[in-house]
Amino acid sequence: MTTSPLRAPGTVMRLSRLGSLHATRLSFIPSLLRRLFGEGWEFDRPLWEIDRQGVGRALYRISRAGQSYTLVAFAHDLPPEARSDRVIATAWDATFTLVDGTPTAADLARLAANVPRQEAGRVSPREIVLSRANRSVRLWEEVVSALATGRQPCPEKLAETGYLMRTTAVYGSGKFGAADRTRLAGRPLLDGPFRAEMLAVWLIRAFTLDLVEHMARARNPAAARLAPAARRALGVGNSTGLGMAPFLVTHPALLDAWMRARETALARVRALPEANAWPAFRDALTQARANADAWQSAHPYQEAKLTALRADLALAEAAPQPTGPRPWDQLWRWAEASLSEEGQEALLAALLEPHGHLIDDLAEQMGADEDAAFPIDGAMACEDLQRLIGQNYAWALTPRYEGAEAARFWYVSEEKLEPRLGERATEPGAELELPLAVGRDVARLAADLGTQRGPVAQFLLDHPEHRHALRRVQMSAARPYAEIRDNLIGAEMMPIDLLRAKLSIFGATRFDPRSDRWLRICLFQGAPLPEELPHARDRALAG
Amino acid sequence: MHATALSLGEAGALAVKAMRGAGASWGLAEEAGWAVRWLGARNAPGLETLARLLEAWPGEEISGNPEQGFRASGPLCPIRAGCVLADFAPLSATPLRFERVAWPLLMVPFAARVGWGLSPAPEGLERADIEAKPGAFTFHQPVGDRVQISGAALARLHALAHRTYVPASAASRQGAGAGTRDND
Repeated sequence: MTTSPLRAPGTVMRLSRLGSLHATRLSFIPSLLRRLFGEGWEFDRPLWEIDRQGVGRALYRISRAGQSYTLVAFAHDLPPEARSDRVIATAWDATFTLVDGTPTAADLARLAANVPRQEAGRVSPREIVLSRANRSVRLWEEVVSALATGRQPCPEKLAETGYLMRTTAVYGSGKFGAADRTRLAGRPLLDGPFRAEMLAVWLIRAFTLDLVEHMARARNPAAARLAPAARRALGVGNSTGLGMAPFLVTHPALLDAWMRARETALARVRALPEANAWPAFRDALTQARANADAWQSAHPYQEAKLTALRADLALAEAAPQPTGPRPWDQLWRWAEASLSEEGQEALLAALLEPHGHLIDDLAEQMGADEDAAFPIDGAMACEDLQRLIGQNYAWALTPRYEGAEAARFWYVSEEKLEPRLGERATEPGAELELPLAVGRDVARLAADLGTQRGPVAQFLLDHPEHRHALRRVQMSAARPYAEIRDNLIGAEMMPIDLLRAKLSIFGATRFDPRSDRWLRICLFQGAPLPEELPHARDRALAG
Repeated sequence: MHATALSLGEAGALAVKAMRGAGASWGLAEEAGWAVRWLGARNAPGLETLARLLEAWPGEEISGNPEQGFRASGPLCPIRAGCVLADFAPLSATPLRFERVAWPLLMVPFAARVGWGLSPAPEGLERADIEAKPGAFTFHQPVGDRVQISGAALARLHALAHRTYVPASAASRQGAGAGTRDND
């Protein structure tokens, strides 16, 4: 298969561009849905034990050929004043775990004692994901009262919020005793980063829809059920703050795999000699415009990006179909010259959308083994290290890392063990700074490395403090997209750019920043539901 | 704290923070996390041994060279020794010697990384002169993903990890979230 050259890491791995990424068909949610619906998975709801106060538990299961995964949902009666999205909360409207298999009665008893406590409890390797969610104060009552009076809720209100409940954490990867990701290696559906987490959220979505109908019926046994279009229109919200921010820096091999898959997909499409998919591309563009028009954000940073995005998509729609060889490449080069980063990345998603047959294999290449990238090669010559720094970290050598260029520091709070971003000049704790300022640390490495000769083993013997940075530089040789090529401790840095990059890879389609370090997204909005799986049992409950 | 079983992810994360809390550089602390996970996956007591090491961590000090061997003024940190071993092994065809290595079990993952073997066999040793030899590696394949840890060791590691956390203040709480109403 021919491919154009991939875009340079110096272009792609800038924070402002990462903060402009859009979900593509390679994102985790669409690729999970393709597998769920294309590979024979079945759905049932083996338990629904929720009382009129909305307290109780339910099981949501998908299964295939003897393999099953079950979401255990605990619904609680949370007083409104106790509701908080912050990691420091200790109670929630609903708590969840995704079980590897079907839980026994003993499992359910154990989980009932631990899952509602979240971080204060323990789960076992039988559990893959731990999560919790709170109701949307805006929308929940609106929907319950509409259904209770026999009406459908107002579609505009549904669209304005987009979800009934909002997860405030979705933990996997061995946290709190859950299964390490290695346990899922080779599993048909869940072998891939965050597949389990996305599956859990998809099942949580179904639970929120069933629960809101249940609460309406508790008010009035003749309550209406949500129309299928309304069910589809609702996703699961998510509140993401700085807890997620360090991930891209602490998982360089994974970041490289994610970005390389996207860039390879773009390069394959650009190399095509024809544009047979032009009508489908136009449809994707129309959808992107509709998404951009419906996308609301109150934050000035996002508002400015949305204005540019809407203008760019209008320009793209007006652009004529390119003629000549490599029409997609022609369109792309026009976009690079004419559109904002938001516009370019939205166009990228539209370009990829109709080319599944050409690129969907890349969705299976988005995993990475961080351990494989970890070992340092002591035999590398210092000259080669210097060359790598010049090639991949020139951006890191320009700042002086004083004043505004080192205004912030990343640290872990004692209060709830969550990452935070402090102001170096005014807050205590900079001596406990996390090693996320890779640019500054590589600059320090370069300063001590100078023009030395000899193997890096000797350099590290003399300068052990540079081990962390040296590892990153060596890693960059085979993983050009592993490093964010921007200063992560500067005064102007927007942490939401980090959050958006990761969330777009998940498949989030709208981003609503609430500050420079906290944003709201909605997952699975508009997506098919478990009850739509071909052999879904309990279809009668779906209405 | 009671004895408990941690996931490999938890064990590794705790090891990194405890090592850092004991005073190691981040680069060395990361290597401790990796070593603990490697040992834990093979049912060897890596995290428990790290807790013993950190009761009296000798620091990162090391001097010497491949010809004359490596040492510190007191006991030699096995993580530091392991890093030096792994770094120099690709350059050496002859054995490398490390004097008075504390808790040398923690050197094993580094030997494995470069396909070398250690003698004497370090399991259970509190301190030993270790000779690393090329091509003599015979450790096991991964067999599990749970790390058993005693309550005492867990408490000690958490206490060290705690040194890496910054206490909350009103300013820091404000900076972590929306600053506006986040419940809607």
